[in-house]
Amino acid sequence: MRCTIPLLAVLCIANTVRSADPRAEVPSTLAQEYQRALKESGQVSPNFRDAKTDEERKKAVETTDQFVRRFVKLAEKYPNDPLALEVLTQAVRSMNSQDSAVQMSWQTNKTAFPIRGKDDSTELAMALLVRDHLRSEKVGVVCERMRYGTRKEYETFLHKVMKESPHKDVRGLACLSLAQFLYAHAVKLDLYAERPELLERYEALLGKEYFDSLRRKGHHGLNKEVETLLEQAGSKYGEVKLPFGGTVGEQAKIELFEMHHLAVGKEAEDIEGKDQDDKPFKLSDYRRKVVLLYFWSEY
Amino acid sequence: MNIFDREPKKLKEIMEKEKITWRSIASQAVTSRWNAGTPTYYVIDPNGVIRYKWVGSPGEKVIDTALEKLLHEEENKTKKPAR
Repeated sequence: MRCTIPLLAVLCIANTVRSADPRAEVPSTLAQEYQRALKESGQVSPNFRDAKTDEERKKAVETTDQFVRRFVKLAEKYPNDPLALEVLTQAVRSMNSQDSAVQMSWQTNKTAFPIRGKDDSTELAMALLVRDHLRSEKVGVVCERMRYGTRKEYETFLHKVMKESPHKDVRGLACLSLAQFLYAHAVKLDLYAERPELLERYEALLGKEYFDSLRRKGHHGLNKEVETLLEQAGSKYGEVKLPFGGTVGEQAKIELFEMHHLAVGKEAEDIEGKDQDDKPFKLSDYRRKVVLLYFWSEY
Repeated sequence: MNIFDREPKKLKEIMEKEKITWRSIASQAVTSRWNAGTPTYYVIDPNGVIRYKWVGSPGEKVIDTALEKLLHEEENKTKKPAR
């Protein structure tokens, strides 16, 4: 389900763009090619978790890479088409799902496996975003998506948007997204400190050079950077609306609260409520015991 | 312990369906305060301090190892009380 929803949304956008086009009788070739690529990528979407061997994982990586490259090449071919930004956004979404699928596959697969294929197109995607869309007021959406990814090129791109976009709304989204992106890396550093055996996996995911640079910043340095960005997001861009509800300011506040009160080493705030049998429940009743808290939802 | 983000009356129904035996509460307020939009795990030690946190499952083995480590720590403390 989680894969099909964004896909459907994308198809709707593509359709609207087409029907809103005054030259509707001559459908834009990008729209056609894009829809074909989307359809095919949905049909062969590989499941990393099912890949049992290095060979199968390599194939899964290459298949996803192929579609990412196809999206990016389409955007390169039609730089002036209004749909090009959406196509690049889809490329970023696909890269992100590749990154998270690999991380999920670590639950079952013990081998670290590089997720970036030989013909990785992240760099080209970012170059096109900079060349054709840096000053667009619509580039905020792709900035927002980058928080869910892990690639070093996103960091550079988000910094550039914060510096050079003429639109306050876009700068605000980039600022918050960069903070969230870096915080996810700070969390990885903490997990690595606890379990040094994760080194190989993080190097495979992020690239040795990028992971080294994060390690040099360290827990403290990286957290300070995130805090500064979140404070900036709250004070300069507080009113900026997020694409899926709420504001940059509200979200920045939630993230700061998480950093200060919900991180490893902090004393847990009490939880009070009623349990399944309507009996009063307090987390603090479990002092002197080891507690596993699991937050979940029906998906 | 489970913290579920939907309406409380559905909690028991879901617990029966999924055969969950843990003590559970349903509270949107708690899940949003804890910024838990995706499945999140916290391990809290006997002093109420957060010792482990995973956003998304790290796998059963990792969780078990962490819990065992803390339980051992506790056992050793009781065996050898500080002078």
